[in-house]
Amino acid sequence: MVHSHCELLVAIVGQPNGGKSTVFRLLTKSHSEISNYPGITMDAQSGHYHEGNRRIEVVDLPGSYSFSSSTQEERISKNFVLLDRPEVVIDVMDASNFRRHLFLFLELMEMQVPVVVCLNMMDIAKRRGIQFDQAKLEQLLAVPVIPFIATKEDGLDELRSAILKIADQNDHAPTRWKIDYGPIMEECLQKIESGIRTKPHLAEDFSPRWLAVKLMENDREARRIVEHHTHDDSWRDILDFCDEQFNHFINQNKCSPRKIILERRNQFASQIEQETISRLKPRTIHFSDRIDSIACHPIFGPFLLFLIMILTFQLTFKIADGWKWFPLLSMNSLSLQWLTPVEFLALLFSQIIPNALDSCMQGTQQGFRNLLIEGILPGVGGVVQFVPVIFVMFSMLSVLEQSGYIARVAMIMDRFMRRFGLQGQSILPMVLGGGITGGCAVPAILMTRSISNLRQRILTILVIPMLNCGGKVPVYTMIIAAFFASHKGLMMGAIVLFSWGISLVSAWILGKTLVRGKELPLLLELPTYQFPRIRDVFENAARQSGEFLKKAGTVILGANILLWLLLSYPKLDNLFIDIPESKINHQPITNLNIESNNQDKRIQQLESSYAAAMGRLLEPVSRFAGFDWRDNVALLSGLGSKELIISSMSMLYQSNQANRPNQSNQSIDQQRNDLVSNKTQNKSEIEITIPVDSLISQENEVNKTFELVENPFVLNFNNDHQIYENEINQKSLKISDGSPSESLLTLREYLKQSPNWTFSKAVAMLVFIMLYVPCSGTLIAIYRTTGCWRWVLISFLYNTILAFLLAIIIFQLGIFL
Amino acid sequence: MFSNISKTKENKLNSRLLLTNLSVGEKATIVSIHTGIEMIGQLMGMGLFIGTRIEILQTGRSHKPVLLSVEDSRIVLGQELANLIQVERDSTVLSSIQKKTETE
Repeated sequence: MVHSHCELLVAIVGQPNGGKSTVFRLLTKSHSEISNYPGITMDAQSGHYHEGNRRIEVVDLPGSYSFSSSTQEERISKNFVLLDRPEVVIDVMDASNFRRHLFLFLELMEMQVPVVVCLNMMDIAKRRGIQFDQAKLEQLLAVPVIPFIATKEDGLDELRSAILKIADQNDHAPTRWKIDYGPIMEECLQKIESGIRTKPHLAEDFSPRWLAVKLMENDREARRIVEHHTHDDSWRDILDFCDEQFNHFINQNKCSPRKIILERRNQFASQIEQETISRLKPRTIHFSDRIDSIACHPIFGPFLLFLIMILTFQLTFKIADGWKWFPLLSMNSLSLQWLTPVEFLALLFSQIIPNALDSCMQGTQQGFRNLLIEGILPGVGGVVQFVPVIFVMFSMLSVLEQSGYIARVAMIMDRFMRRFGLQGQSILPMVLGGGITGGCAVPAILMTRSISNLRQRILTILVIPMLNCGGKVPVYTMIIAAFFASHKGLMMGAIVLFSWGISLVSAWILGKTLVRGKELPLLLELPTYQFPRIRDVFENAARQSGEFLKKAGTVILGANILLWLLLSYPKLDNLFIDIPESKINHQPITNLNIESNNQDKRIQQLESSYAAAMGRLLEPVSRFAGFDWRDNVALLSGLGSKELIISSMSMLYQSNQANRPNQSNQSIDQQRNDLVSNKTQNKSEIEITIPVDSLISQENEVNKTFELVENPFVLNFNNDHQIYENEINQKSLKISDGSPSESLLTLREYLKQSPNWTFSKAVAMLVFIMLYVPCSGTLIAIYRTTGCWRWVLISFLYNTILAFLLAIIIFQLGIFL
Repeated sequence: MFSNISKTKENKLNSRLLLTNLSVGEKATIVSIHTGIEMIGQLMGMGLFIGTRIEILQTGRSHKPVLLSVEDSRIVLGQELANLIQVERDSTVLSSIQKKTETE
């Protein structure tokens, strides 16, 4: 890293739960951004602040308990400190847990880097009756010690001046500080040290003393450093020499050098503690323990967990798309409309913006206008509609995480999850990705970054797409309503159980075959319960939602547009799909036939599009599972995002209805009346009452309703099954109302009586949709989180093959039974 | 699970008092840790090392994880890990006196 003349690099290290991130945030205020370490997919934050005319760069390194194990967090922190050479390293220590944090400090000091100790949580220490002799502490530790209370911003100025003082003090001259490991050990260490000093490159980059200690500890990483940082083959000599010393020591003392080193460190820490800390009060029972006696109770614990999960989930969906608290002021009637955030966004992208664009784009070419209004805009709208749910979900999870409850969740679920090769921490991303119908796999996968064990993380990632994300729910609902109308709740429950079953079994299978690696035992700290800070919660949620939009949103948008293109091209001659006159001039439709004309065109266009051709291509194979070309196209559209399946289906199946015999006009009116009377129960209510610059005649109202829901790319992120059904009815109504010759079946009714759709096909379809390839957003999230395409491919193949096999089995069984 | 434990060590462990043998409320001192090198470092960073005094908050009976308190922090260990940590009970007299001073 190249630093300019007036730039300082500061790194923050520390154990988890020490308040490290808060200190980072205090230093950098609003000047922080997320960065990814190259090649590694862990979260790292870097920011900066200014002191006078100097720009000071601050990097928040991942928290690690020690520098002697080989977790990924520790490797990142260690490498940064050793190789990037920050001018100052801030060690954030929890004052109420001082002894433990001292170990990390001692290891850090041995690396011989400039350190400033930030003694955080002084208020908690004071409450527990712990007092520090600061002068003595500074003397023994040989570095500045700044008492700090991060939650109150106490000590920030002192910290800043200490940073400057240390940065200006030395030019990376190694300190003379060291721990005395006893005469025998010191002798060995001296010898190794002088051996290292003969290799100038090695001695320049790494402190010889630290390297010597690590080599005597038999640390793997240290050996690797020696191997890679000597520019010739002489590293073998050094390592051989170290092994010599190692064995010599064992022979002399009958115990491993590592044991001696660790013990000595431990003694030194105890010494420091004794000389600098005094306890005024005896240790008392924490209120945190009282909560844990219920939260971690073998019986009540899981029960409470279940309740909290359900509550969190329900709350998320109610806030984002259940309660109508978002105001919309309509310009014409000056009335205030209350919507849910998702409804508002849906409206924005399906009506308000298109209408505005319409009036601005009168003269532009038809094709471009179509692309924008029917392709791009709905695609964008589709992605943006995810945002309220994701934001609220991340906020809820942030609350749980900051309060400390997440650790308890990992503990409670650990035993159960381990049976399948997963671990307790996996439960949260799995629930987020659709554990209880609804949710989204994309943020769930992004969330798995908090799982430090690589094998566990990958297993969790592979398993998440098999759960019931919010996009699959509409299809489930429709199929259940069509074929299992009398057992709706039961079927939904069965689907949830089945998806969990398959996920866990898949985890077990994948764990034994494709995903190999060390399985680490459960070792977790339960932090004290604390009130989450609202500002931090929202900042986290905003940051993560922004990440989602950037990473997945662009891909989903691209996929949506691609699909729209595939469905609209090749264009048939003289058959442009026009945006109806009414939209352009806001005049009432007097001639319904224009509408129906367009509809016929649409149907023909669809049947000769590239997408349909692809669907037909797959038919010979998909036939074994009972899928025809329409199903194939619908399923292909699911690649963009699962919500598209239902809309494609209704489009494709309605086109089939165009060939059916006609019914009388009376039934059109009947249906229309039904729709109007259904107003109170479904979303069309909102769409109808939004005033448009046109005459409000019943005809026009009805048409407007239809147009709004016609758009297949408007996504509905709604868990309310009742509402969904009516919406689907509306969709079919629109198309069938276009021409008097159309029959008036809803998609649901159509499927029910269609000879192609048997019971077993319905189930096969359900299972296939549940399990087959993850949507484009998910695939990208997998790539971003794992860093390689291999796992994306495996997810793609495993899921699809599994889904297809099961669908075939189910369908064929159905034929024989 | 941990292949770096030799048979002789396993036999030795079987005759000693392990973390999983303790009941709720018992206090003990860690005598030795038989995990791999890296795990020892991690445990030490969390405050669990030879000579540390711990108190059991939830037992590791029937394959459940062990929840214990070390100084001012609370640590959970899976059963396989707890089975590799050898402890020595604090004398009962001492612990009951300590209990009295704590509740006062």
